[in-house]
Amino acid sequence: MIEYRIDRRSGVATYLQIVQQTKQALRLGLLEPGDRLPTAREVVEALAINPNTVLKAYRELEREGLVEGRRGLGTFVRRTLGEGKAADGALRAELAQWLVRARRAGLEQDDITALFTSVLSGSDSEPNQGDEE
Amino acid sequence: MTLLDLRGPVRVTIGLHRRVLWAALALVLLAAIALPAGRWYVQSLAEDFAATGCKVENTVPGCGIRVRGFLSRSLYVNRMFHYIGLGMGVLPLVLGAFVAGPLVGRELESGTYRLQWTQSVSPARWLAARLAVPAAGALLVLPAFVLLAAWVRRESLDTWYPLQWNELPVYQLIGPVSVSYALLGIAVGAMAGLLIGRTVPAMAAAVTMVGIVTGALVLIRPRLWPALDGPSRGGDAGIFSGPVDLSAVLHHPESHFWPLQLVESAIVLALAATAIVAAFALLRRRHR
Amino acid sequence: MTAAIEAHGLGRRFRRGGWALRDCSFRLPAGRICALIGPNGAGKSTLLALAAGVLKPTEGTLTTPPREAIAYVSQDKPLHPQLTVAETLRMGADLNPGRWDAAVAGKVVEGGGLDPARRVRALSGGQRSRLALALALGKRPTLLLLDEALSDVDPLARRELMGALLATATEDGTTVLMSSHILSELEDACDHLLLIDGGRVRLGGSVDDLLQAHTLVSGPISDLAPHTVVTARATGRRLTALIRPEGPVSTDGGGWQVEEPTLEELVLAHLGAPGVPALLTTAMEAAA
Repeated sequence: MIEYRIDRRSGVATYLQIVQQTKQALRLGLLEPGDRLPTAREVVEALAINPNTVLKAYRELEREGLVEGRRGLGTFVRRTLGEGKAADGALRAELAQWLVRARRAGLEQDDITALFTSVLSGSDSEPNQGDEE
Repeated sequence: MTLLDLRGPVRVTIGLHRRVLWAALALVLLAAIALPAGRWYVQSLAEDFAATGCKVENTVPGCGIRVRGFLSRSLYVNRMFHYIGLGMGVLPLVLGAFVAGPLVGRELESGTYRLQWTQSVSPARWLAARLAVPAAGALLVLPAFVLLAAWVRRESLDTWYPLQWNELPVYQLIGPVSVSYALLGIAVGAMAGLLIGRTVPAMAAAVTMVGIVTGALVLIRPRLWPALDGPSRGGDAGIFSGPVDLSAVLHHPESHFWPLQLVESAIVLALAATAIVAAFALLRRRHR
Repeated sequence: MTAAIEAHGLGRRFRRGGWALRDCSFRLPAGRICALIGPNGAGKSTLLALAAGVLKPTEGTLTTPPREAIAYVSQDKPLHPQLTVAETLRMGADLNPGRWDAAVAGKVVEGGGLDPARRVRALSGGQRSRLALALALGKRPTLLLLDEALSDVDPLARRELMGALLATATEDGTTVLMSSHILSELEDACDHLLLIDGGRVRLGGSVDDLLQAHTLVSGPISDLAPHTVVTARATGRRLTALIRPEGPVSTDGGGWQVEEPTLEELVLAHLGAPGVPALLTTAMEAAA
């Protein structure tokens, strides 16, 4: 079962962090259709947050058709995101190798994040470039 | 408010003060054993003394030490009875101090009353439970103790040191006034504790108030029932050596024991009831 | 929506004169988790003690659930020092017959590894807080009042205890009113906010509604009428202001930025501007 973590300094609303982490888990294949999300009580107890925040996040996920609430049973995953392709082992391994090289080149965590996001946003507008940058 | 409602708070009160309550019970038991034991001791002394052939009235040579030994031992037992009687006289003060201090004042001082009140115990039930424990103790234990003391006193009448009904320590040990004063102590203690709300000052105030009331009533005790003309035939002193008896023209015969005890008890109980009503009124005025 | 707490013109005077709380009117709907925020001495503790029924209002009325359904942890967490942890919990069971949930209370105590045989007087401040909270949660209240209840608990334990109490509240639909002078302690846990200052209510409502009712604007210095200005601060030729928009905020003037404020900005702005009229959103407005 998914365990949420809340970063209080991120500036992102708590309910959005739950939504994002659920989606990420769906993309990575950590959550699959039929899986049950933790109950509001479980999330509230683990994170010490207001129950409405959890319910709001689950409503948002429900609105997007990703999960469905079944009365008295809990909230269940309906479909995955990106067919769970992010869980692809080969791509992941390649990225891990690249990360080793970046570290060797002396890049720090923030450098790596900056590089990755800039390439990512660059590749949106110019899909054929950016590989070698 | 029913007795059933008080079950929880009473159990808690006993739990909080069980050491003091055990100690009090032990003291009472000790006194209750000492009374008949003293009586049997004197009896056996008298039998042993009779066996020696000596007589107290006309001491023959060789009997002096035996007579003195017999009389002084008998006197010790008489003294013990007096001390127990004095203890009974102090009991209302002790009860007042206990209720005013540990039972009520300390809870107000330390704030634990708030814990009780928000654990579903209303202020009135809280106070009632704190009064019920010592009051039940007094009502269950003291009457039996008084009956025992009255019997021991009657048995003492044919000894060399008879216990007179109108001696101060004896009078308050063998009649219902003892129970009434105990209840007064509890009631005044509750009032003082609530009024002052701090442990030590409340205890001091309770002792002072109970002391003043007791002292005043002891002084007017001889006037609580019409005395008879003429000096007492027995020439008794003791509690009735007050203004009534000073001129030796008035006295109380032993038949006045019950009227005197009942009138005094009624007065003391009325005062106790007033203090209780005042305590609950005070509680209701300050807290909802 | 039924109200868990409803106050009308509530006031409480200090014993030495002056008002701890005055003209307090609001309602807290059932099932809400409400932060009671205000600087030290604002009247938070007084309001909570009034709601808990350990203080009596000087004026006005206050409607709450019955005493049996309210739990209250006051700032000083009074506990009986002579009892052990286990005895304290047994007291909770004795005083809340038919209500007490030993499992809930036991879990809170075990979470901190408290030895049941330990006496309360030997516990640390944080451990006492934990025990006091166990007593409060064990009675499964419908209204839970917490007065800086977790302030002396270490951060890790605070999160665990807050989680436990919010989980219980989620399950039972408990209404919670908890105070702190530090907003960040409560911000994640609460859906409603009651801000008091100087004994008066300044803001009250659901957090979302309150945030929506205010706007943070910055732009060239100009007249902000007809909006209610809570605070305005000029830096150079630019003006930053927290306003309550009366109607749409026009951003045509050029260079205007409009943002939703954070809860902290809202609270600080109101504490810095005592003259600004109080605002209660419909959720917390007392019925006329």
